[in-house]
Amino acid sequence: MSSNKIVLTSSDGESFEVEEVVARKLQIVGHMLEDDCVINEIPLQNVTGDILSMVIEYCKTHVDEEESEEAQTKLKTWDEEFMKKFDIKTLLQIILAANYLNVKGLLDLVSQTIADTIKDYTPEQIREVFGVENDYTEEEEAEVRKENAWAFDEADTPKP
Amino acid sequence: MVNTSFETPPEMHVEILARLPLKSLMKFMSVSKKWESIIRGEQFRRDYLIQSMTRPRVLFVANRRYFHNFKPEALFHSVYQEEPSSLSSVQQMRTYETPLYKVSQPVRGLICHQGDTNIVICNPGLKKFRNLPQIEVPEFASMRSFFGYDEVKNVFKVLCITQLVKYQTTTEGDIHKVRSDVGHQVYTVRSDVESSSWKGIACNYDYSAVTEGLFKGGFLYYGAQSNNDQSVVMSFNVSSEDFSVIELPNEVDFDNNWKLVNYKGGIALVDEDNFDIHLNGNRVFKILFRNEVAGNWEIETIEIPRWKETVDNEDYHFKGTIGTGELLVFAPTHGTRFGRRVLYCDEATKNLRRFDIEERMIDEDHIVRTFFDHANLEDIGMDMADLKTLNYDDLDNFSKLQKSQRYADIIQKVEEALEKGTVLEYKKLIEDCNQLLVDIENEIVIVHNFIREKYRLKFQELESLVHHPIDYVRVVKRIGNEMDLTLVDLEGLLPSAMIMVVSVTASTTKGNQLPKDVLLKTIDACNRALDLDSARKKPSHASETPSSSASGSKSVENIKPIIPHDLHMT
Repeated sequence: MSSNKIVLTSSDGESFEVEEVVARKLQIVGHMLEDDCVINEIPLQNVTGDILSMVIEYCKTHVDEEESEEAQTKLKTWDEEFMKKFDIKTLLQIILAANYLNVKGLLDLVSQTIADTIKDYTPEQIREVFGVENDYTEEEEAEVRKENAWAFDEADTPKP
Repeated sequence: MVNTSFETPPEMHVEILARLPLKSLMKFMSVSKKWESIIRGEQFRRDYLIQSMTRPRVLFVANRRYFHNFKPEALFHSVYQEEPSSLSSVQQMRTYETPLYKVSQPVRGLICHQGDTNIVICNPGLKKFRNLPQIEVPEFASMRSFFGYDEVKNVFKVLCITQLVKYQTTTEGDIHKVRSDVGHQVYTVRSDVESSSWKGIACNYDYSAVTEGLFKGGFLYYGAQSNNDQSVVMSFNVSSEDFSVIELPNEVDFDNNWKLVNYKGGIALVDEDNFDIHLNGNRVFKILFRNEVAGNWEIETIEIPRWKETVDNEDYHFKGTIGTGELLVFAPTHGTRFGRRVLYCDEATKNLRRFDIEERMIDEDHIVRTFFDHANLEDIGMDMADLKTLNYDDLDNFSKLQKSQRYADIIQKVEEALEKGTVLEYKKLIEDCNQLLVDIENEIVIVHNFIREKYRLKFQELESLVHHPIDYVRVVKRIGNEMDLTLVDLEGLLPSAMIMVVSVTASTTKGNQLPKDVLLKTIDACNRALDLDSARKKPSHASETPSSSASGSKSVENIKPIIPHDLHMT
């Protein structure tokens, strides 16, 4: 196995030295390496150091994906614990990074975690978290809410 | 690090939205016009469907053993099949709008249930229901319905089989079942309600359906008995609407306990009552597996180790395989008290695992049915806009019993038969009456719900004060649109203490007068409920009236207790 090291640099200038196998988990890096083999320092424009460090942590853990059921279960538990560390805003930054760096497994994991987190949010909370502007007039919003009134019914939702 | 003006790009929204329960999606339509258009968009719905299919669910359909406050409560609870005990995957829906009797296996997110001759298609994820038009059922015929999907035309279809069973008395006095004609009708569920109707189709085989159905790969399968008493499996091509017969080994003799299951990509038959727990604690049972290539059935013996230590004496049924066929699954027998568990057995490792589903709302009073491979999706066949039209406004969409021929016939026969009944006729009639009483009871529940829904605008508190449906209905009818309850005489309808409470509450209620058309509908529904109530008393009284013929009265006395007396109004 190659022990070739690669340096990843974040938008705010932080550098991370990682093994090539780990860096290749970022498909954006994988493609660059295929195009030109001699690169050993890669600037990543769209991701900050603290988020990049999370992504690298994920990639390091997932670097050898063993098939065995035991290993899979262990990895799953790790994923769950890993996700518990972040609040919703951080999760949204990680999803952006995972998308930009093209880390499929992380993208799936974070998407699901976000979905599970926000499913019981109110529309107001969603707007705030996602930075979505409410472009409904008051009447229009009342109308849409009325149509789906039952979805706001708390009695259906189990309290965890 | 956290930037509050931070915005996620729309493609990320889609990625996340595709993983949300339908209920949350409905709610999030009011976030913004943009979000609404994403959620309603065709592309998103396709993505959502694909996403949902990659993560199938276990669906628990629960209803109360007994009506609770006369409400037919139904609960739909689903979890990810791959990790049933994960709390984050829970989706839940509760409805009072649909009593559940016979429930089909879910097909592409929809289930179909049949109560008496009413068929309702339900999207538990969207809490939407569609009542199919009343089907023509020959007098005294039984009816079974099966639910499938036409993958060629992308429509859902319901196959309905009506079967007339006649009784004949032999010279020795034994009662014999004599089968007669089977009728087949198909309903294609189109979004355009007007153009959908039941259509009779031909079948060249003479048989009677025995087992529940299994929809798989464009075909509906169900176990049946041919006219020479051979057990066979019928297969119905949902797209071409052709029937064919799959023969079975001679020793197979169906009864209700046989089930068809998905097994390693094919179909298999299992006799639910036939298994052994060996001394070493292993469960051993046989299945009949259809080998499509060889065109025959193969017997396979399955042994599940550590059964006894994992489940003790609880009663589980084999539900086939899930995923790519390497997991054998079991669910509790329908109607048992521990309905929220599932068992998975890995075929290769023989590792048996039990999952207890944490759930507060489903308790021991519920009957639970378990289905695997449920996809939670907004289907193509019925879109949201269409389903919206199925509102609660027209009682005729929901309450059909009184207009059915069967209702009129039985009520009429009750009166006639009392005069001149024979033993056999009595027995048959009382059976029918029993069924009808149950149906009437259910119908009253539906009408009662309808009235409450409407009357809430006027006097919301009333339903919490007057629980009994018929009392409630009488009070609503008496009060009508009157705002000043001192002008309304409730004497005789309620105990005087309760009249006091109702009057006082009415003086503080926030309700308003109902619009004229709503009031008319409500009063009409009240009359309907009261008619049903008086009809309910008829068969019960009839069975208690001594007949002039000596043998007749004896048989009536013998049979009387089978009429559920708790259904009578006091």
